[in-house]
Amino acid sequence: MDVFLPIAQVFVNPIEILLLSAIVGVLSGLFGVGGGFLMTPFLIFLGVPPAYAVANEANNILATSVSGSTTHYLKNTLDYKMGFMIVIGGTIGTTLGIITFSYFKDLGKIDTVISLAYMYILAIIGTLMLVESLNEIDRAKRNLVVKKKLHVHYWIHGLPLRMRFPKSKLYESIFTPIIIGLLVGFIAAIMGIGGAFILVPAMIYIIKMPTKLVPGTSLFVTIFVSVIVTFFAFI
Amino acid sequence: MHLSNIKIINKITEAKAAIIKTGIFMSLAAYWGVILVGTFITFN
Repeated sequence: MDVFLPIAQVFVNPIEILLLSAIVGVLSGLFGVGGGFLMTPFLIFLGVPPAYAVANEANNILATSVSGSTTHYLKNTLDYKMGFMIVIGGTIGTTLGIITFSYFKDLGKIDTVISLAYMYILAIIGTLMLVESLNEIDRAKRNLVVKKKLHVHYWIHGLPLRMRFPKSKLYESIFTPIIIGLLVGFIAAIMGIGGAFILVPAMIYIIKMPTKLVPGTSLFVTIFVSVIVTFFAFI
Repeated sequence: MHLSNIKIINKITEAKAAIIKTGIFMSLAAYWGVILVGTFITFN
């Protein structure tokens, strides 16, 4: 029983889409991601043109993010201050991403760009995870205990304009969350994702937020990023 | 067990690990080679 989508100009099975979105929704709540990096490729595999998959998925991510954020707000596992700092960067990044998206769309190359962007981002993440897990297996086999310092400071932690984030118990530069938000917003606008699957590891490993606050805060940021992408997709 | 036997077993284990690591590295190189060549062909 296929349904015709007049704007995307494709036939899709609504039951397949409902099942896929249910699975993606469960994963979304569990990991604090919007589900866009799963759902957008699924929509592309189902035959929806990439440009339409990106725009529609931003809309879907908005719904899952609002739902997830509300739950985390009720459980008091959301750092608003950090979230707003990331949103500032996310707004700029998303706007730049939309401009880039429109540029490639006018060139007629947007479908290729989206497919390539997914391929590269997922390939890079997969490679990094493979290398990390192989190193971990190697260390475990050799019974090597790596003594990690309590705090490891990179150049990003030396940036100016420091601010206190009492909920996360952090004192760091506002540029850190802003730069991360900018990158995430840019990628989110091109790929039709919320950006959370990049944002969550960035918040844990770069910003060093407590893990319990990360899913809620990333869903909170995703709301604003997906609102901007949805808005620009409509105009 | 003789010390030489233990050394031989360790060397075999290390050789196996080296072969596996080489295999994984070659697969990654091939994977990335296909991606880069495909990108080049797409934009030409």
